[in-house]
Amino acid sequence: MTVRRWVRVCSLRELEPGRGVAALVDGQQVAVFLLPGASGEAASRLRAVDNRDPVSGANVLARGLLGSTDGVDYVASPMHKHRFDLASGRCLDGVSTGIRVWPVRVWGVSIEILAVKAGPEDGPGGGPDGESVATHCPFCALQCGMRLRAAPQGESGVEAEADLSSPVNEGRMCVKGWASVGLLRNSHRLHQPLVRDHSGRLAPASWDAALDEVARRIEVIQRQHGRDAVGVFGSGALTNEKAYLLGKFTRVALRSANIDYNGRYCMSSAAAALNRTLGVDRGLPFPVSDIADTGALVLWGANPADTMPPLMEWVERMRAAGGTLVVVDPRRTATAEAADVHVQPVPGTDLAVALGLLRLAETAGLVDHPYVEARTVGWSEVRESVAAWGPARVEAVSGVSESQLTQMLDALARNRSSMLLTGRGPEQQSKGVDTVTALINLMLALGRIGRPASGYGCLTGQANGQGGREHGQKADQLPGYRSISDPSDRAAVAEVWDVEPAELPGPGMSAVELLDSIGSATGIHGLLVFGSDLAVASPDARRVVDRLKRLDLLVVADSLRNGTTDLADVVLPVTQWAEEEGTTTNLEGRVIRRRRAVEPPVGVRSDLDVLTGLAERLGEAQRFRFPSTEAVFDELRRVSAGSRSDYSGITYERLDSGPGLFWPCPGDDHPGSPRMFGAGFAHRDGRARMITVGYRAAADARDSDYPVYLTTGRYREHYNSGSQTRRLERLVRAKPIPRLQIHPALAARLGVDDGSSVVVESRRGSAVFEADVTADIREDTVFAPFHWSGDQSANLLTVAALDPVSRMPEFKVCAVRLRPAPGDIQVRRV
Amino acid sequence: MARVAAETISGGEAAFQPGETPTKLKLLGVDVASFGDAHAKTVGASTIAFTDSIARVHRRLVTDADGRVIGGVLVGDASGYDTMVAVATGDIDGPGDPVDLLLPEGRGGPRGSTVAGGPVLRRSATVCSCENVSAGEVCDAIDESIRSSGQADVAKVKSCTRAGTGCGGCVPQITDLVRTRLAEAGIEASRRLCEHFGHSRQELCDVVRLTGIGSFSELIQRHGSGSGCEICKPAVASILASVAGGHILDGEGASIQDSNDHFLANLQRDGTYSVVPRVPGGEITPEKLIVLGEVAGEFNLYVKITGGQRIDLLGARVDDLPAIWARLVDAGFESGHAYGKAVRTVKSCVGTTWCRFGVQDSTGLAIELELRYRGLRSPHKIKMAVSGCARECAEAQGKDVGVIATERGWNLYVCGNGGARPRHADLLAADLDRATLVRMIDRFVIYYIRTADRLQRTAAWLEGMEGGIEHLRRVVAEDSLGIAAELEAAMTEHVARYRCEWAESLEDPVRLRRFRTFVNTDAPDPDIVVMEERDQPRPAFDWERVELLTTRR
Repeated sequence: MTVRRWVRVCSLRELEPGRGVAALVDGQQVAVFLLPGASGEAASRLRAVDNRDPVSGANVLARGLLGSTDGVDYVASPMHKHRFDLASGRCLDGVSTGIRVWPVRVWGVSIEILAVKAGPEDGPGGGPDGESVATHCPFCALQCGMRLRAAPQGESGVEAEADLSSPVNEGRMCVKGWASVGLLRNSHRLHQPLVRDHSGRLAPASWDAALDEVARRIEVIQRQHGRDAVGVFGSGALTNEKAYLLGKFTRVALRSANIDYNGRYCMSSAAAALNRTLGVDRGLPFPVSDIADTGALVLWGANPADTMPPLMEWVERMRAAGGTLVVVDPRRTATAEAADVHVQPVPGTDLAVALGLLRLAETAGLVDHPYVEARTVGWSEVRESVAAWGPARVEAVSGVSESQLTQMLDALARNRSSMLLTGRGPEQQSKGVDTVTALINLMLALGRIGRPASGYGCLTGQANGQGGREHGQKADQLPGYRSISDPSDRAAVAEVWDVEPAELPGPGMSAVELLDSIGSATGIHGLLVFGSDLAVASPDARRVVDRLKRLDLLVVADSLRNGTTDLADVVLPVTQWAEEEGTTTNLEGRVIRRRRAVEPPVGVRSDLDVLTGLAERLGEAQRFRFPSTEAVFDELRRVSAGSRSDYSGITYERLDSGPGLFWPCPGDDHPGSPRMFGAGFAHRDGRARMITVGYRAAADARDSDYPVYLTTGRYREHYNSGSQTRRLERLVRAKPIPRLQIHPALAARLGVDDGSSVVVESRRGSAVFEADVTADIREDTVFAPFHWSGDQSANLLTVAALDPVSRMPEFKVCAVRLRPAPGDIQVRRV
Repeated sequence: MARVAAETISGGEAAFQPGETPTKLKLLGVDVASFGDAHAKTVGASTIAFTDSIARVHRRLVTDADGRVIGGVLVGDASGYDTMVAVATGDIDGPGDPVDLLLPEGRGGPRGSTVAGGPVLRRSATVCSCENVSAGEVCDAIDESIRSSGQADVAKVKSCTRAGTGCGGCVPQITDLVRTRLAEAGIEASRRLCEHFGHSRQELCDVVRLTGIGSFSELIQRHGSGSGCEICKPAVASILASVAGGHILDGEGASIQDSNDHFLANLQRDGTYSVVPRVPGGEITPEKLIVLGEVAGEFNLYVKITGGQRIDLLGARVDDLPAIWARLVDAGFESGHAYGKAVRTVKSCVGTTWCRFGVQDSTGLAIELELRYRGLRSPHKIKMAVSGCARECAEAQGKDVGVIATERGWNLYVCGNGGARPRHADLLAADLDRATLVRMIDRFVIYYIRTADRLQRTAAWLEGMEGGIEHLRRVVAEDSLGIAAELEAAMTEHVARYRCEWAESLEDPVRLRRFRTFVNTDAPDPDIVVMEERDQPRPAFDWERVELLTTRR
C-alpha cells in the first residue's frame, strides 16, 4: 500500500528567500526553495523538487541559484547550470527528462513535504481503502493523534500515520510515534501468563491458574500481615479507566491503603504546588496552541525538542511571531539551542533563581499590584520572604548572573503576555514543590495566571500522566482529585462504590516509601505492578531490586518483558494501546479516545479483565461487573461529578464526535474548559494562595569525595525506562547506548576521551557510560540518560531523597565521582 | 584520430594523417611561429610575404595552387596566428584574399584571433565538443531566433542546441557567432546582461557606482525587471562586492551569490567541495604545510598541488567546511578565493632570494601583490605571476597580469591567458619601479572590473577593445581618460576593507547555519561514495557506486 504523509523538514525561518535547503525525507533527497519576492504569503513562494541533478548525478540542486524566464521559475544546477522548472520539473535546456516535483506546504511555521512511500502490492488484508482507526500515540503526554491501519497481507502488524486533524500535532509525530507500531509484534511480547514454579523458573500457566494463584497468595498475605500488606503500583501509562479501576480495586477489593504509582516520580511536585496555590492540578491551564500566541515563553528544566518534538511547532510559531524563548537548563539541549536566552544554573538551585526573580520583580516595580490585591492572598509574607534574595546571593548559589535574571524577568514581565512552563528539571528535586510554588508565586505577582496566552503550566510526561493522577491511584487521593482524608470526599465516592465510607482505607504510603517498606514489619509483603518497570525507573534502583526480591508475592501485569517482570512471581500479559479501547487525558487536560485498531494476540487480556478477574476471586464480583470499557468510564464520570476534575459531562459519544473535551466538564451540554482561571482560582474564595517557601540545598551534597553533579534526563529516541523503546530496532539503532555528557575541561582533568568508557560512582552505586565530551554541559556537571537498565542504569546513582510534600525523589541532582573505566569494565553495546 | 581507429578496428581502411604541428614560440624575446607547409614544399605552392625591417617583422603565407592558405611563418609579430592556423586546417573559411590575413594587426590585418567580423567558421566546424554541436547548427538556431523574435542571445542558443551547456568553454565562440549573425541581419547586437537587465555589465557597473545602490533588489526594481536569474544575480553580486565591499554573504548577498561563493568553496562533480587556502606567492612554512596535511588526513581529503602554486584539498563535505576552515584559520590561513570570480594567485619564482639568475625579488613582489589584490571580485578570475628574470619561470606572460624583472626594474605584461584559448600577454609598460608598477596594476585591474563583460577574461576583453593594447596603454599608463586617480583610489579602498571571508563566517552562527547537507538531519549525503586510488580518496564513479550500493544491501 502507499502511505502518504506530511513530513516536517524545517521551520520557515530556516529558508533564505532566493535559495534552497536539502532535506532527507524517507531516504529521498528533496530540495526546498523559497522564491524571492515581496514579503507576502510565503506558502505561495515555496517549491520542492528532487535534490539530485539528473545530468551530473550529484545531489546539489538545493544549492543552485533561482531564476525566472518568461514567468517560469527555475533552479539552475550549480554543476553545469542546467535549468529545471520548479513547477513542472521540466529541464529548460532540454538535456534531461526532468526531475520530480514534491508537494510542499506551510503548516504553522513549519515547512512540510508530502512523502509518498510505495509499499508492496496491496492485498485483501489492507490497502488504501482499508479502514484506518484514529487513536493516539502510546508514548508521551502530548498524545499526538495517529491513525492505524492493518498492514497489507503478508506483513504483520499495523501501519501508523500521523493524524492531520489532531489539534496538538496537526499531522506531525516524532520518531517514537512512527516506531511505536513495532511494539505490537515484538520479540519481547508476553503471550501467556507465567507463574514461578518450585525450581524458581517462570513457567507458562493458564489465565485461571495464574489468577487463582494470585488471589490465593493475596489472601494468605493479608490474613498473616493485614490488608495493607498487599500494595499496588500503578502507572501514568494506564488509561483513565484502568487508573480508576485500579484505585477502586485496591480500596474495595483488596481493601488496602497502599496504592501509588510511577507518576510520583514525575508529576507529583508540580501537582502538589498547583493544588496548594491555584487549588487544582491541571498540567496546562490552556491548549498547547496558546503557546503560539504568547509574547514570551520560559521553558524551565524542560527539553521538549527532544522529549516531545511536535510541541516545538507551537514554540516555533511563537518565535516566528516575534515571541521570546527563554530556556533554563544546566545543559545546552536541543531546546536551549533554539532559545533567545539560555540560563544554565547549577543543578538543584532553581529555587534560588525563582526567589531572585521575584525579588527583582518587586524592586524593579514590575509586580502587578491590582491583580495581586484582587486575586491572591499571601503576597506581603512572600514579599518579605524573598527580600534576602538579591542578585549577588542568587549568583553565589546558582551561578546565574543579575543580567540573566533581568533578561528572564524582562521576557516574563515586559511582554503583553508570557508563559512559564516547567519540565522535570525543577520538579524532580527534594524541594520540587517549593521550587514550583516559587515559580507560581512569581507568575501570580506578575499578574499572568488566568490572562490570555499567559500563565504557569507543567509539561506532563507520561501518556496519561494527567488522567493517571486524577482518578485515585495516588496514595492520598480518591477519584476526581478527592482527598482520601476528607470526610465529604470519602462519602461521595463511597456512595457510588456502594460501600460504607468507613470501610474505605485511609492514606497509604507513597511510591518510594512503599517500596522501601518491603522487609519491615509494617511494610508490604505482596505487590501488584501495572504498567511500570519500577526496577529501572526508581531512584537508587539497586536497592529497589533488592527490596522486590524480598517480597512474598510480586505480580506484574505488562505487555513486554522487562526488568521488573524478570523478578515477578506471576506475570500477566496484557494488551497494548492499539489493541484496546479507553480514554486518556493529555497534558492540556483534554480527554481523548484511545481506540482498538488491531486484535490483541491470543492469550493476552486487558488490565481491566485482570482487575475484574481478581476482584471476582477476592469475593467482590458485584462491584466489578462492567460489560465494557465505556461502562467503567461512565462510573468514573459519576464519581467525578462535582469534583475538581469533573468528567460528568464527557461521554464516549461526545469524544467520538470531536477533538476531545477539556475538564472540568460538569454537564452533558457543558463545552468543557480549555482555559482555566480566567474568572477565579479553585479555592473556595476564588483567590490564589501565594505561599512562602525557603531555600535549601540539594540532599546529596557535593564534597571532595564526590565532586561532580549528576543530572539525568531523556533522549529523543527513548522513553522513560526504555522497556518499550529499547525493544524497537529503529530507536535502538539511533541511540544504542547511554552516553555521559561531560565537559571537555572536566574530561581533560580526568583523562577521559570522547568515546571512552567512564565509571560513575555515587554514594549508592556505580554505572558505566560511554563519554560524550561536549561543551553543551556545565563544567561541574555530567548528564546521563535514564533509559537503560543493568550497569548502564542512571538510577543506580540517583538518590532516593524525597520532597517532604510530594514525596518526589531527587532524580535531577546528586553527587558523583568519575574515573576512566579499567580495561575489564567497558560499555556494553547492545 | 578516434574515427580512424574505429574504422580500422571494424575492418575498414583508414589511415591517420598527422597534421603539421603548428608551433608558436618566443625566441630571445621575439615572437616566432610556423604552421602547415611553412616552406612551400607542396607542388604548385606560392608564397606571399610581408617584411618590415624597421619593426623587425617578417610574415609569410604559403598557398596551394587554388590560393588556399596551407602554411606560414611569422617572425617578430605572431598576431593572427590562431586564425591562420584555423584557416589552414579548414576549421574556418579564409578571406577571399590571403593578404587580409597576412597583414599585421593594426596595419590592415584582422584584430587578434577573433572570428567576429573576420573570417567565418565553416558550418561543419565543431563549436561545442561536449554536446557535439556544429557552427551550422548554432547559426541556424540564431537565425531561427532572429526570425521569430527579432533578437538572439546565447541563452537561446543554449536552450535550442545544448551548445555551451557542458563545460561552457565555447560560450565566447557562441557569443561571437551571435554578434556576427545579428550584425549581418542589421540588428544592433544587444549587450543586455539577460532578460532582467537591458544593460551591459559595464553599464550596470556605472549605474551602481553613480547611484550608490547597494542591493540587488533595489537595482532590479529601479533598473531592471522581474526577479532575476542565475546570470544577473552573480554578476550584480560581483559588481556590488567590488564597488561596495562587505561580506559577500551578508543580508541579501547570500541569495544572489553563485553557488560556489555561497558555500565559499569549489563544487566538485560528486557534490563535495575543494578547499584552497591562500598561499601568497606560493611560499609556505613547514608548520603550515603540516597543518594542511593534518587537516587532509582528519577529514579524508584528496590533496593536489595546483598550477597556481597552492594546495588543493578536495572531497570536503559541505557540513565539514566550517570545521576544516576553523582549523585552517587557527593555523593562520585565509580564504584563497578559488571559488570566486576574483584574484586567485600570484605565481612566482624564487628570484634573487635563491636563484643564480634572478635580478629582482620576484617572490617578495608576488606576495605583496597577492596580499594587495586578494578578495577582489571581478568579471572573471584574475591570475597573476611575477618572474625574477627574463627566463620567465613563473610563466607571467600567460597571465592576466604578468610581471617580469629586468635589470632596471619591472616589465608589466597584461591580458595573457592559458587554458583553452592561450594568449600571450602584451607588454603594457617597461622598466617600472615597484611603486609605479603597483599603481599601473591598480589602474589596470579596476579598469577591467568596470568595463569588462560578465565572464570575460582580460584577454577577450582586450581583443574586443576599440583601439586594442594602444588604447589600454593610453588609459592605464598615460591616463588619457583622466580617471587614473579615481581607479587608484578604488583599489586603495579595497585594500583597506579586505577581510578574510572564512574568518568572518566562522564568527557568525547565522552564516554557518547554511553549511549543512540536510536541513532536517545531521546525516551525510548517502550518495557520496569514496574510493581509494594511489593511497588517496576520490569520488566513486557511477558504476562503482551502483556496485557498492547493491552489495551493501
